[in-house]
Amino acid sequence: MLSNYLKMAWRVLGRKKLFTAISLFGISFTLGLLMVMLSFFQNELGSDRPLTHKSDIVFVDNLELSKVYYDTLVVLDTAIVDGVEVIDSTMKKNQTSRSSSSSSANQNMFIDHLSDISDIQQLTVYSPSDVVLYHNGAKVKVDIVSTDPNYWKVLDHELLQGRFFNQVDFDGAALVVVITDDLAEEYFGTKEVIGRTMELDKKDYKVIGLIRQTHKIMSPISPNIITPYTTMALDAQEHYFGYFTALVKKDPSASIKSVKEQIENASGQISLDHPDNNNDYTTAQFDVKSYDERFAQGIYYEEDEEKSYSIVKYILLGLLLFFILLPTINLINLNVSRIMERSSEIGVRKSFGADQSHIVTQFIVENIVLTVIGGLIGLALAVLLISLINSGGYLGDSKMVLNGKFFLYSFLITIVFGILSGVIPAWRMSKIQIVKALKQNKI
Amino acid sequence: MITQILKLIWNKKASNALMLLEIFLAFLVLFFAIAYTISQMNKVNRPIGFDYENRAMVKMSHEVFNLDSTAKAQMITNLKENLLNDDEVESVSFLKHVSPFQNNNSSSSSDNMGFTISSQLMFVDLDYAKTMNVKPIRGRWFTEDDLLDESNPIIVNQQFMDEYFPEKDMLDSILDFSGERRIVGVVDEIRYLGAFSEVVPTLYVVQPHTDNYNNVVIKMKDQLRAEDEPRLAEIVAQSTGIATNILVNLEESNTERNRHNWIMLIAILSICGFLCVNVALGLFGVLSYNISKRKSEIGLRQALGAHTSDITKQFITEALILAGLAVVVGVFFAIQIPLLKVTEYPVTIFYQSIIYSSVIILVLVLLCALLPSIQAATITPANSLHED
Repeated sequence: MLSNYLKMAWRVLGRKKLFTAISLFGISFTLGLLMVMLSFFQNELGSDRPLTHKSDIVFVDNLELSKVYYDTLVVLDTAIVDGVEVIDSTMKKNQTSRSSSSSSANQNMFIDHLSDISDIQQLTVYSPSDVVLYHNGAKVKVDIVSTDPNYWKVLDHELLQGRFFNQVDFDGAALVVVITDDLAEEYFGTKEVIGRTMELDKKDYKVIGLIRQTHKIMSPISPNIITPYTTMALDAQEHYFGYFTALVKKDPSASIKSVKEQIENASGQISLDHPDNNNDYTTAQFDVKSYDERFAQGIYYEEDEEKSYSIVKYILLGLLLFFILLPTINLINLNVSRIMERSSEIGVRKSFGADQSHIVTQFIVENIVLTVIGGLIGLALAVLLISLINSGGYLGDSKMVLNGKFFLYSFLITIVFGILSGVIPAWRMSKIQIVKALKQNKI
Repeated sequence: MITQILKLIWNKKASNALMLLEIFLAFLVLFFAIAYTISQMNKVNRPIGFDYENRAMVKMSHEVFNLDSTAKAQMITNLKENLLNDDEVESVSFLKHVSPFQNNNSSSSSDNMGFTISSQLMFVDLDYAKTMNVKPIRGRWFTEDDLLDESNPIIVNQQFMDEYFPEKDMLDSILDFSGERRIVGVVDEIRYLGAFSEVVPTLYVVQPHTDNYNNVVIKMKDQLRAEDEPRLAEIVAQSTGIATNILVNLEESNTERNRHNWIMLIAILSICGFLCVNVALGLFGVLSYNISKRKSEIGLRQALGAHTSDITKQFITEALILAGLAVVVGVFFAIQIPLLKVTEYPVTIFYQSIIYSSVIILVLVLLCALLPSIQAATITPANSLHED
């Protein structure tokens, strides 16, 4: 039965070449563009390395010190009422004003206040910086992350050679770096770099590990150089603010919400009795968010990260829907015309006893054959476009992925699109009465 | 004629409704894409208020903050002297964290004057105008005396004046805006974030260069060549004693910053273009099919004496009326955005966009209908009536 349908589908597509070509154009471009978008979001929001524990990662970005004070606002206004000048006054009490300072924090703020939270499995603090190195007359731009050994437990970087730095290196402020393969190629011209030295900040650092370069837009997931922060020249005094932010891996069984609450409660323990607090701030608060919320804030910033996330989600879904809707309606339109042309065939099949579901199945199979062909062309287009975009570096640090999951999702998109655009015309056709179907060419 | 065509459209309402929906959606897509393009191009076509060619900027390492304030001031003085001693350097200016093409910003708002004034702030030293070629359109640039002036001299951009003090000459007036501030000059634009940035009220605050130790901009006498960069970086490293500063070529930073916006714009326009071509091809297919189904109708009309041009005209009018209906529905929805003032963007953008999208849709439909309609007219009565 199915092979019959397939054979018939093939014949029909060959017969009306103009319609097939127009349909294929629409299908292949739509699906191709969808696949490119899929690839982008899969790279950014998927749980590929180093984000193997993505759903358990929580960012603690900034420390905010704030105070709220109450204002009394009096507005006096004169107005003419019935020819008499009256004074109209409004008084707003308890209008609040808020003043705050927010910044990356001193590393000890995180270590002192977040280490004891039971739902946090790993806590790492890091300080990102962009640096330009001049090496052999060439300019090399690098992203350095200065951090502690827990970094390797939160982010799952793939070690190609050598080793990560450990607690001993960290405690001894050893001048060691772990670099990525791309940087090794750019800086040394080879991947055999273990044991070689690299000059940073006028000091010679020894390369002890080589990791695979990852390509995520969001800082600091994809640095080129990772080094212990104990080698930085840090102020020995305790301050609120500094150069650090924290990354936390929570217990998989704990919910993001409860971890967020625990971290926010912990920020309540921060002492506000410190000479640095010269503005008399009354509240200290860590800024906590999940990976996706932080990503959404990068696209559309709202103070409340959950609001940001839902706004971005709905906007993207809306745009996606719009983008799919137009080609779908177009295809439905074409299909309706195409099927109407074959009303006599349907009439004959019906009069020989085919019921409605047979006819619907036949047309859907036909449409899926068409979309799968379009999907294959679309896939070729998408692969071409993705490799063009990646090699041109048009997305900055982000590089789109092509992997098994990508092909699986692309196939699913194609099938769903085929069913979606085939069901209405098929159902409409199957309803046609035999008499009408057999009597063609009516004005 | 029109009423008859409307009747024809009404008779095929089921399939025409789908076409109508499709054209309507295409109109909306075009409307948003064109509105976005117009608003971006309006921004790009405005000046940014300073020059960036052949200028380098050094972002100084945060380790500078570990120094105490006298050491910092001494360091900055040395750095300025050493940079100016270089044969190629013409002028040097020190900035706080708000600087050209960087993501930092500083803003302040106040309602002490009875209405809310909010503005972006940029902290500069006396040499900024010379280094970046900033020219006040009214008033003057900061002078040595301004550094000691208790009334806190500021220079604002034209947008600041337009928004808060339209049709008033505020030169030398003192504002109550986060403390007293006196306007000494007006510049046309201060768009330190580059060509795609919004035009918002912004002002320059003057500070002695020894207070500004985040970034330093360097203007070269001639060109900024690749080999100049390591030399300048070395001067900064020697003078500050810190090697992890970042030197950027401002022209490159500008290109880099604009590139993302251009990519976005081109991506949106190409997706929109693809959707339009897709819709156009679909319409072409459906129209040519519909017309081929109406051969007998055409034959009958020709037999009754209709000219070929009448037949072409009939089919084109039919398609255009259908598209016109869809556009009217589209305009109804689109016009709500400027009417209800949903966004802060100037309303003219949306009216322009409505006109452009309507024209594009109608031209597109006309093109799609042209070929099938001409083909329809070539049908001879003998052929078409014979078939039935």
